[in-house]
Amino acid sequence: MSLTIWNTDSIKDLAEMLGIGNLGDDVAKAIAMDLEYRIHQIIQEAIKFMRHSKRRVLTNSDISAALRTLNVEPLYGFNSNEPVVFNEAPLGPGQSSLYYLDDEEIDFEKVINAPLPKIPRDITYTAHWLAIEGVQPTIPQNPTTADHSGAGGDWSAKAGAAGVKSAGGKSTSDVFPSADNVEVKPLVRHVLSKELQLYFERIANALLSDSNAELRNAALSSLRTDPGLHQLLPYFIIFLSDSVTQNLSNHNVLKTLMQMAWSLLDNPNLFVEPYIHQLIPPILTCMVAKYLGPGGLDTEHYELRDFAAYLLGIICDRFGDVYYTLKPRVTRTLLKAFLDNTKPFTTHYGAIIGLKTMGKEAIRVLIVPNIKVYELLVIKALEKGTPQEKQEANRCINALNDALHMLKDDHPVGNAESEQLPPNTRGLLEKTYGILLTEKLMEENDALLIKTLLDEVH
Amino acid sequence: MATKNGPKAQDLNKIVLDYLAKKGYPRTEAMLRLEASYNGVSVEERLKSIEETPDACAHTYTILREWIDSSLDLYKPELRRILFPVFVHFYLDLLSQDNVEYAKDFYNKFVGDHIELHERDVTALKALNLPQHVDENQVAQQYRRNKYRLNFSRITFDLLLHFLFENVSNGGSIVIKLISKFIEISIVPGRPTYVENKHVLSEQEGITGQNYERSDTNLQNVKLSPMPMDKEMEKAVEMDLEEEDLLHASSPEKADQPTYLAEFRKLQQQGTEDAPSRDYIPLPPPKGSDIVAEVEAVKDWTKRLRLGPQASLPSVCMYTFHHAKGSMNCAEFSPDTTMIAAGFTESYIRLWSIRSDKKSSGKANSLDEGITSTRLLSHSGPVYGTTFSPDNRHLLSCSEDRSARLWSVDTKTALVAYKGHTGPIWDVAFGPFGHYFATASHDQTAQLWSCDHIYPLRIFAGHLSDVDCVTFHPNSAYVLTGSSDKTCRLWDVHRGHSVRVFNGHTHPVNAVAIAPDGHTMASAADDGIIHLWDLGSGRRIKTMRGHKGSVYSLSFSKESTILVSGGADCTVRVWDVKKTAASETPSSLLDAASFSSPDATLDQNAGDTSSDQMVALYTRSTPIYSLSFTRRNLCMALSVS
Repeated sequence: MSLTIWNTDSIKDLAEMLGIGNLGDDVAKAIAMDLEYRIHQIIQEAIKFMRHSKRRVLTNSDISAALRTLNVEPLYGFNSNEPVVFNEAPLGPGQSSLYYLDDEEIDFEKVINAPLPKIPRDITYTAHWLAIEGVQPTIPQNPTTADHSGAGGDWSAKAGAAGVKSAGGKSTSDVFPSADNVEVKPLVRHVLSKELQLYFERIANALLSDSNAELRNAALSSLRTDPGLHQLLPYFIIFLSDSVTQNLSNHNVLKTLMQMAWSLLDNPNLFVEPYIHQLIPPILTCMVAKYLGPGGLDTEHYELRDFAAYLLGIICDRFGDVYYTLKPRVTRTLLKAFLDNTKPFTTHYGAIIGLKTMGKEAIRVLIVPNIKVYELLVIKALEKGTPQEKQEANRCINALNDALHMLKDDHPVGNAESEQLPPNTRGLLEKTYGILLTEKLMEENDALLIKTLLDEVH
Repeated sequence: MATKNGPKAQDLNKIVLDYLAKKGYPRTEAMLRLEASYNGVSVEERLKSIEETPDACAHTYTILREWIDSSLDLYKPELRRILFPVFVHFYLDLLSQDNVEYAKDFYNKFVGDHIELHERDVTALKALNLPQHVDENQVAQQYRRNKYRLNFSRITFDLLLHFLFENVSNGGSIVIKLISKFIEISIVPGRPTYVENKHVLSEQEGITGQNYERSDTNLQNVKLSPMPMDKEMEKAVEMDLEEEDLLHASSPEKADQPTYLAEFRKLQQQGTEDAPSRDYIPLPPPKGSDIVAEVEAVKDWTKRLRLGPQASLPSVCMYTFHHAKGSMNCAEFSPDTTMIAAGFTESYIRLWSIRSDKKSSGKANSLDEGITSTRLLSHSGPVYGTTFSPDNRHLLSCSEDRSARLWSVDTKTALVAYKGHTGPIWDVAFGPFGHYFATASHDQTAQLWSCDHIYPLRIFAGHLSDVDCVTFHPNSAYVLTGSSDKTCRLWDVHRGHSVRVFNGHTHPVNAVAIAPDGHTMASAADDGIIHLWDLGSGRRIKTMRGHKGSVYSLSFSKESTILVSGGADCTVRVWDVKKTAASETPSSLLDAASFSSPDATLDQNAGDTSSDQMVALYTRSTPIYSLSFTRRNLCMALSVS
């Protein structure tokens, strides 16, 4: 009946440590039995403290508190969060080895001069509806039904006082503990179910394959409409930006990827907002990159740039109010690209159409004052550039022209007709908009537009 | 009497016993010892001196009880069961030996141990006075003729035998004899805590065939209806409500609704016959603010959401705390849901004001945070419980430092420290009318305090282990506690006595709640099982299974039709209070079948969910710390990630 977990040998070892050489067998046995009881007693007390702290892990502080309630002096020096490491000392062949704790000397200087630990993050709270009249709304703060759909609720994330097994252990794949939304809880590891991983792989392959247009379209429409993709969203965003950088010379892929971005933005079930900052760089790349596609006289890339600009417009419209820094930051980037005369015309083109989507104010304030200077660059290219450069420069002028047309809309209709254009219109226009554009404007002879532009000058 | 063979036989026995001990056959060893104690003449002779004296019974009973009380919590509940048959038979023995005085002494001394669980029998036995009575009395003969059945786990039984043999010369032999003669112990495989799983004590143990109906007449009367309102206050409230009604009378949509006044009168008339009188629990005279609050309460009552199986399911508003896991011990909403108080391991309390959120929900929370939260510093140990006063102006907290502290919410300062417990305080609860509060402590007592006294007014002693949770009855006349001894008790505030014991949990009780109607209570244990009890009869109404971890919080809806529970398994579950076991579906019958099979483990049962669960709401792996219904029946929940 005296089978204790503590054998008498370890008791004797401990006695020797305290300088008691010849401990009797009976005494050691009695101490061992008592020791086991005491340890049970302490653990029993400590578990109470753990329970009341609503934890599932027993900590050193629980043991200390238990010792205090039992009127025993707590053990000092074990209150750090580091695990206790035992060192092994072999006693010789055939004998079990001895385990001991290192008692390190602590240098006070070091402790005092050590940098202060990082301040822990402040405790904050968020509120949401867990249920409205018993129904859980599908918002990111609530887990999706797939997370706990297993019949009978095999919800075993942190289950059970007594180690609950998932029934039969059969449903493993679909009952992964719910992965937390990155936005809500960045500290928790994101676990994807197998199905979602498979889905992701298929979609990625379909989008990158050049051959099967049908499959590609199916993938895009799936992204556009399917609910329940939320968990995959961060992965799609990363996939998007990676693929764009890898496929800069493949025009078709880039186009598909932009369509993918469009699909993601269009899907009503996806909550794209937190990922906007990751989504914008690839789109900008597709607008202002030096070369997109095979290069040369190929003009297809202008379509791509236009499409990317359109997407940027959607994003800025939709999220500009929430992220008030979004528009200024994008605009600044574009403006920098526009004003840098070392950049090729392709980049300038992207910047101009980008700025165009930023609205009239951007055109008025950022483009109009710079047209005159920019024209010099274009003229130089037109005079002595290669055919390719000439074509590109023309594109830029056309884009600028389009941008100027944008300004027309908001001019009050009616009184424009009544007023006559001043005689020196051409001169005035040339002063601000340069010769090339003035030429184009005068050719079109749109009185309303010219009036607007003249107003702009004043 | 000692023969020459005696010592030799003893030596032989010893050798065999040693052999058995070495081989680890404790039961065989125990049997041998048991039988040896009959045959071994010398042992008997040695004991004779003790056995003969009438003091022996009391002495033996005392040491047995002392030993059981000091044993580990793991084995205690099982060991404790042996006390009752031992008590009965000692008493009957003494009577049979015509030691009536000793018998009566013995009875009076120890009857307190059993009065709660075996009231009917001990009162019946009290009547016996003469040896002949023992032969005549029906109850006594029941115990004498039948074996008292007990289920023990192997370890517990071994422990008991070990103890008895250690004390064989100190009275242990009497108990051994008694056990072999009158008690049938069946060894149940498994660990001690699992043995009594799913069973109520009185269902499992006892004399086979004996009906363990606890006679209802012997239960102490409890008054469970709402406390009647102060007459003057009632008048004032009625006047105010009348004014409100006149104000609203003009608006057309109010026409078909009952007036506030009618609603209030209806509330006041509920079950006035068994209400405690107002002077039973002295309270300070009502203030003007109380009247205003009461008027608001009536208004809220008329505007409440109707919840229930016929009406709608509750809406749950969840507040999730981030970066707090491991340090936050408890959290609670104020009754008017404008504040959250949370107690931390790092000895402080943090108070958040959540009122501003409603207005500026779009703004970034982090900016407001500095303004709307305050740290309350004063405790010197982890804070385990907080509670707001009903008027939202004060906060109470309790801590490992053995004190409870009163805080002013207005000035955010500590006002009083209440020191009376000798162990960490696990829980604290304000009374429904303020003024009084109760604490539950590690020192196995609950205490009643009033805010204006620094010493406890009542000490509720009777639990056999830590008191883990405490709550007030809605009429303020009773306090309900849940304990690690796996029972809940209802205490009379006025007399300080335990008036009900609710026995049936198999794990420490973590949370208790009394329905606002005052007649039903729910208790939830560490294993996630919730029991629903009728306070009047002290009987269990039903058991609700579904949670797969500790339940931390329970709350009834204001109409007492719905119970919500939440805990460590990161779910909020909604239960139908009125649906009884009779109307359960076949799936729960299946449950019953699996319980009856002897090796039904907890694992299998945990997969089942009672049919009265209306819905389970899952969070993103954030355990629920607190649940409470507002007066308009909106469920507020707190979780920590």
